[in-house]
Amino acid sequence: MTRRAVVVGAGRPPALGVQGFEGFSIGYWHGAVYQATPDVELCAVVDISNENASAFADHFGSVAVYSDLEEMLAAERPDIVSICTWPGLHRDMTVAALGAGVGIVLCEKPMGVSLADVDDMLAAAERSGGRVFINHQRRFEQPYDGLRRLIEDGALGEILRLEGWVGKGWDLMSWGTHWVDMLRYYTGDAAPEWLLAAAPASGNVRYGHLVEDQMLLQLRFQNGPLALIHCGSHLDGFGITVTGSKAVVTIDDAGVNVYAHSDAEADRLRAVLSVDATGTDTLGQAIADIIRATDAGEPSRIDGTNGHVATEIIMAAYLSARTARRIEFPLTDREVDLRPTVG
Amino acid sequence: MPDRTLGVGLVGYGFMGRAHTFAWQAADRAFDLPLRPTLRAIAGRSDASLAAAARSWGWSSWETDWRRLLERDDIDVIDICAPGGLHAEIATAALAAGKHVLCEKPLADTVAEAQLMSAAAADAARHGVRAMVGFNYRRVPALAAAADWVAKGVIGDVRHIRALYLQDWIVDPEFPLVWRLQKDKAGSGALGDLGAHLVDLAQHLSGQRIVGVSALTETFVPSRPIAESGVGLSGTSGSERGEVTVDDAAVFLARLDGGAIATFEATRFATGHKNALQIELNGSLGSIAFDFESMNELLYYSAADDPSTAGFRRVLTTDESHPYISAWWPPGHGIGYEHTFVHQARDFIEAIAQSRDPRPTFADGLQVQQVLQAVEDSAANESAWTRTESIGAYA
Repeated sequence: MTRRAVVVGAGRPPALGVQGFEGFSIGYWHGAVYQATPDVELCAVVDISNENASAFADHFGSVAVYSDLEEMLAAERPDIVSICTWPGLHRDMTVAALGAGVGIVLCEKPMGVSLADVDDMLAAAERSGGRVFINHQRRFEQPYDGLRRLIEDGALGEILRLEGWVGKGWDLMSWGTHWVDMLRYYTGDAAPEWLLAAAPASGNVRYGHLVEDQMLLQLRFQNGPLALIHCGSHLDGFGITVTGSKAVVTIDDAGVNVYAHSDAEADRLRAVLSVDATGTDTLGQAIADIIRATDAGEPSRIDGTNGHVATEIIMAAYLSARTARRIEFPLTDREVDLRPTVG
Repeated sequence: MPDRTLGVGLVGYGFMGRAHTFAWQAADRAFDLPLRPTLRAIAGRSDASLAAAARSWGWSSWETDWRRLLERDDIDVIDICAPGGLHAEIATAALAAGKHVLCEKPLADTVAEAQLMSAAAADAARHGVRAMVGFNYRRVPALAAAADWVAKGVIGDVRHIRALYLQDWIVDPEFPLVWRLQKDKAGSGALGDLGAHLVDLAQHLSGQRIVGVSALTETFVPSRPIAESGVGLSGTSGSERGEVTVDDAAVFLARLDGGAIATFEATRFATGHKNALQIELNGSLGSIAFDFESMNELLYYSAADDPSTAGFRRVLTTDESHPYISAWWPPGHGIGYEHTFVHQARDFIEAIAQSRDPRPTFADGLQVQQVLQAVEDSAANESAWTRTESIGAYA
C-alpha cells in the first residue's frame, strides 16, 4: 500500500533562508524524505502563500497545491500529514487532520504554545484513533543517540548531571525544546519532578509566540539527576554534557569530548560515539520509525505523549519565571499561553 | 556550650575558601553560638592539593564532586566559594537538597542566574532552609556602626555617596590570565568583584536603592599570558597569551530612590592601592567616611558642632559598644579583614538558629546583580542612562 503524504506549511524556499539558522522552511526536509521513502508518495502541499506553495510544488514536481487545509483534507484524503507551520497553529491543524481521518500526523516542534493546546492534540488522536508524533528528530541523530545507548548500558556509571545549552539568541521554545526532549530521552523518558526557571524577557515574539531573552532552567527528574538548560544570546553554539560517575561526555558543535577514568575507556566511548552518520537522514529515520510504530501498534521515540511532556516542562519554565517559584509536576496550571495578547 | 552542631561543606578552596575556613573555626571561639559549626568536608576538582588543603585547614574529609556534599546527612550548610559561574547550579541544587547556603559575592554571573537562585531561596525559606550572600564588608564593625548611625538619622538625609574600590594587582600586563579575568568564569571583572561590594555597601549604608546608572568600563590590557597556576590574586604565567574578556575598571554615576546621587569607581589599575575600599556619605546633618586600609576607624563630621572647633573627627570603632567588638579585644587593639568573615558566619548561624532569613538575602544579591547589569548595559551603550527596574524583568 502506498501512503499519500502532504506537507502543510511550505514556507520560503531554502535558498531564501539563512542556512543553519532560520528563515527557511523545515517543510522542504519533510517533502524530500517523503519522496525518498518507499511506499510513500508526496501528493500535495498547503500554504497560505500561493507563491511559497507553488515554489514548493516546482521544487518537488507533480505535487498538488492548496491554500486551505480543510479543502486539501477533503480532496486528497491523505494518510500522512506533516504540520510545518508556526507553533500557534499546530493544535487546530493537527485536530483538523486527525478529525478528517488522517492516520499519521507528524507535527513539528515545539508541539504547541500552551498546555491546553497539546492536551487537545492528544485528545483528538485518542478520539480518531490516529497517531500524532512530534518531530524531536534528534532522538535519531548521531552521536546523540549513541550517547543514549552508552547511558543505558551503564558506560557512564550513575548519571549525576545533564546539561544542554543553545546560544546565538535561541529560546527555549524554538530550539531549547530539543534539549528538553533529549535530556528526557537520556533519563529513559523519566517524568519530571520539579522545575525552577529564570527568564528575563522583553516581550520579543518569534514564529508568532512570545520568547524570552535568556532562559536558565533547572529540572529534577523522578529518581534521576538534576538537569540544567540554558538558552540566550549570551552563549555561543549549542551542546549537551552528561556527567556520570564513570565518564563525562560533551557533544557540541565542535564535536565530541570524552573524559573517563582511563584513556582506554575514553577511547572506547569515543569509538562508539564516532559513528559515521554521513548519508543517514535523521528525519528519514524518524519517519520510517513512525510508520513502523503505526503499523505495529507500538510506541515511537517521538510519540505525541513525549511532545506533551516537553511542552509541560516548557510551560512550567515560563510559569516558574513569571512567578519566581519552583513548579512541581504534573503541571496543573493551564494558564500559560505564549500567544501575544492583542493590543 | 551548644549541644547541636552545624555540619559545613565548603565548595572551592582558593582565597575565599581559606577566609571562610578561618571564619567557621573562629566564630565558635569568639562568639557564644546556638549551633557549633563543624568542618565536615571540602569539595574541589580531583587534585592532590584538595587533600592537602583539607588536612592543613582542619577539614575532616574531602570530595571531588560537590554533589556528594549534598548527599551527606552530616552536612547542613553548603558554603560556596567557587567561581561565580558555578554559583547558580550549586546553590539551587543545595537548597533543593535542604542545605542552608552561604554564597560568595557576586551572587551570580548573570541576572538570570541570580533570579534562579533568588527563587530557589524563597522556596527553600518556606521549608526553613536559609540562604545568604557574602557581602562581608557589611560586617566590618566600622561600617556596621555607620549603617546604624545613618538609620538613626545621625547625618540626616543622605545626599552624596562617593564609593571607591581601588586595587592594583593586574597593572603589570604580564600578570597571567587567571579565572577572575575570564567572563565565562567570573561574569565580569572589577565591576562584579569590587563594584558589587560598593553597590551593596552604598545601598546598605544609605538605606536607599539605586534606580539608574550611567557608566564607563575599560579593559586596559586586552591580552595576558595564559595562567599556569593561580590562587586568589596571584598566579604564574605560561608563554601563550589569551584574551581578557572582562573589565579592568568600571566607573559609574547613580541615582538612588531616597534622593541621593552617587559616584562609583571600581578598578584593578589604581597603581599603589592594594585594597582601598573607600566610601563617604554626606548628609544634611553630617558626613561619614571610611577607608578599609584604616578599617578600625570612621571619620565623622557633625554640622551641629561649633564652627570654631568643627572638623572631621576620627572615631576608633573598637569600643565594646560598637558592633561585634565585644567578642574581641579591649578598645584600640583592633581587628582585621578575616574578622569580617567570622562576623558573617556568626550572623548566618544565628539566623538559622532563630529561623529567620539572614541578610543580605539572595533577593538582595539579585538586586545588586541588576544594578551591575545596568552598569554593563549603560557602558555598552555609550554611557546612556539605564534604569535598573527593567533589568531582568519578565515581560
